[in-house]
Amino acid sequence: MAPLLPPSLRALLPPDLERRLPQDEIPELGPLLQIRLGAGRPVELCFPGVSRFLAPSGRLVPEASQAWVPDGNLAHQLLQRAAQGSLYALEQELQHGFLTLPGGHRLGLAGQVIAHDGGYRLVHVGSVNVRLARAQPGAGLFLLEALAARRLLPPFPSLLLAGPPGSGKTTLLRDLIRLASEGVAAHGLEGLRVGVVDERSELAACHHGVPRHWLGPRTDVLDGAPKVAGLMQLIRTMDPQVVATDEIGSSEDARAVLEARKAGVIVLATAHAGSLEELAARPGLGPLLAQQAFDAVCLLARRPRPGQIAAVLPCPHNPRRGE
Amino acid sequence: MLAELGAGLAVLAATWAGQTLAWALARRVRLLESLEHGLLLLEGEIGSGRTPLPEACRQVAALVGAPWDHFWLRVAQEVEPPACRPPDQAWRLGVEELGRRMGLTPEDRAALTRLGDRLGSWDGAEQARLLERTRHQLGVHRAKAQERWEREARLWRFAGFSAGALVVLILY
Repeated sequence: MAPLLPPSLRALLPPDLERRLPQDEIPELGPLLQIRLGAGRPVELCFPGVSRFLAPSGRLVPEASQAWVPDGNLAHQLLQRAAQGSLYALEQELQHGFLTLPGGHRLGLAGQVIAHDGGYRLVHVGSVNVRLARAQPGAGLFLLEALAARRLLPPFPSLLLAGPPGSGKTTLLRDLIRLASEGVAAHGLEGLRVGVVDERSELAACHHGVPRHWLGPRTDVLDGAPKVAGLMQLIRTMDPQVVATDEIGSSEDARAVLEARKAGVIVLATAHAGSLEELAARPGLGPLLAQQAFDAVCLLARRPRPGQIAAVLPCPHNPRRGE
Repeated sequence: MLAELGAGLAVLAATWAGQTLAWALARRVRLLESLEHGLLLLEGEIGSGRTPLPEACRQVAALVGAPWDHFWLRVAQEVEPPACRPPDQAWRLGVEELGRRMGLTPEDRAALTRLGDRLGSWDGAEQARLLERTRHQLGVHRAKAQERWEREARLWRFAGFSAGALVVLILY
């Protein structure tokens, strides 16, 4: 049976919480997707399509009234442990409201903020959300098959993966990067040189610049770099045939993607949006669609399971595809 | 023959006792110097480099060298997994051990513990200011310790020898 949590993540949890959590996955609930903690509230564990609270005995219960409400601020304790007592070293991450943990898991933060340097900074953490990163080799093959069915393969297309939070965009992108790098003989795709700008260290989960997730034999990762500068730097220095980045959204991101496309590079990216209309309505992403920066947009859904392909929408005016 | 040997031993023991007291004074000066140096290095690591605390402490340990590195290594070890202690607890444990092994005064302990209470928190610039303040305070303690060493070290050595000689004179 698979463990509920990877050991590196379990080691970071406050002891009160760690000893209550089950060791192994619960078959009827499936893999754990998130742990949500907050001061004065029960611990919530999120599984595909369902959530449970942690009871004092360590059982998982559906009702919050039966759940264990920890003393003290578990959220702050977890943050302290994750930061190894060095919150000052995470100023930038805390401004962005999240922290990437070893293994690429993401610790989202909420609480009291103050104005700081023209933006905001968290000063007291009231709740956190641990989102587990799961490498799912093979997840991208379903998408490649859908693309092949629409005659969008070969060559490897530029793709935008869009979906709501928790729909598996990053997991799918990670696997597409691996497939692009390794090549997929069944679809006539040769391995390509891939450059990844991993601003939030989620795609590759780098430690001192070395990826912990396998992203293929021809993949270079620029870890922690801002997307805009990173994409251009990779194109200038590493001669990639494909560049990939997570969560584009701003006008600057869009400009960088367009520059990459003009440089003849395939782009793989993700964005938050529930539909093509929502995507087009976002100020940074609308122009990308209008200028046909992607060969196809893949819409993902959270249900019935994260990574569910809801729609594959080929770019309707793409001259390369002759459609 | 035995009486002469006994007299020699008495003088030697008393001189050794005086010397030990003088060494303790010198050792305290060196300890405070090393702590000041360590805090200066930590200030640079935290204030400018934003180096995470465990890594910063290990770097300080490497630069201050043995036997002063033990404190910094202990703090790093307590903050890192698997212990994952909050920095104030880790620091306090380090200070307690340092006090036991090296003989910190209550004032030294208080200054260091106050620093530990705020160490690792959000603001790097504030950390650097706090480190500077603690370093300055330890500098004052060190200056006093140095003064005391200059004043008393010879006295203890001489007093030790004299006490031994006096014992011999009284006994014989």
